[in-house]
Amino acid sequence: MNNRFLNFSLVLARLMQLGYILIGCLFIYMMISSLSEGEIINRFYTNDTDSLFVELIDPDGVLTNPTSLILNAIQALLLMALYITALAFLIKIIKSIKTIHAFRENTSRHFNTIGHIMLACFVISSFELTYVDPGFKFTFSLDLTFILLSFLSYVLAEIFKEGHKLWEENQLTI
Amino acid sequence: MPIIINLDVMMAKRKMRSKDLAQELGITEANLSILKTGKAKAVRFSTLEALCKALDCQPGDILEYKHQ
Repeated sequence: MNNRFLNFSLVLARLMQLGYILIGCLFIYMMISSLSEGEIINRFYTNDTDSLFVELIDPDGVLTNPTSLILNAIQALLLMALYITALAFLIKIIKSIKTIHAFRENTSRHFNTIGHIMLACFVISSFELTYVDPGFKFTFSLDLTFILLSFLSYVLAEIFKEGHKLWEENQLTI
Repeated sequence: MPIIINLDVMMAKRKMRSKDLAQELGITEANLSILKTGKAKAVRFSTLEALCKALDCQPGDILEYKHQ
């Protein structure tokens, strides 16, 4: 199927995947170089307001604390890895639609996996653990976008499962 | 499924090969095999009509209902 919208979404999904991989690599590189040099985040922000687009406010010293930074980095990297995996499944679904194999069993399974991934993203992004002297600080917030995407994926998985049943029935009608 | 297809019995009675029947019905041998083994979910009236014509029989000779 040569649909312009499908082609565009396939390219966009691939670009997003590539972007996330590049950001992840850059993030890891910056983390490693910062930690090995002993200056944590100071090199990324300055008091010179002209050179900054976003002002970082860090009254508790969370951003300059290596433990907090590592915890946040692990959370961010986990989220990035989950986004990349979800995008990989989305690419598979778009490809199957392009090759007119949308109602195969795999598509429903891929949607289900995306739903699980979005649910994992919801859980991971809902809490934040930071180290502020003398102990850990636990922040909890709910990002409903992930849960909405998760439910949407589960609904689509059910729809495609039903579609697969109808396709199979059609194939087995002689 | 309680519906049993006695196609192989009718084919043996008429001494007809799968290849010839498939050709006469205009379906593939794979589809005829699905029909013979009872894996088919549905049979079109047109296929049933062609089967009855090719095997010179009634639908009841091919299809059978058994209580389970």
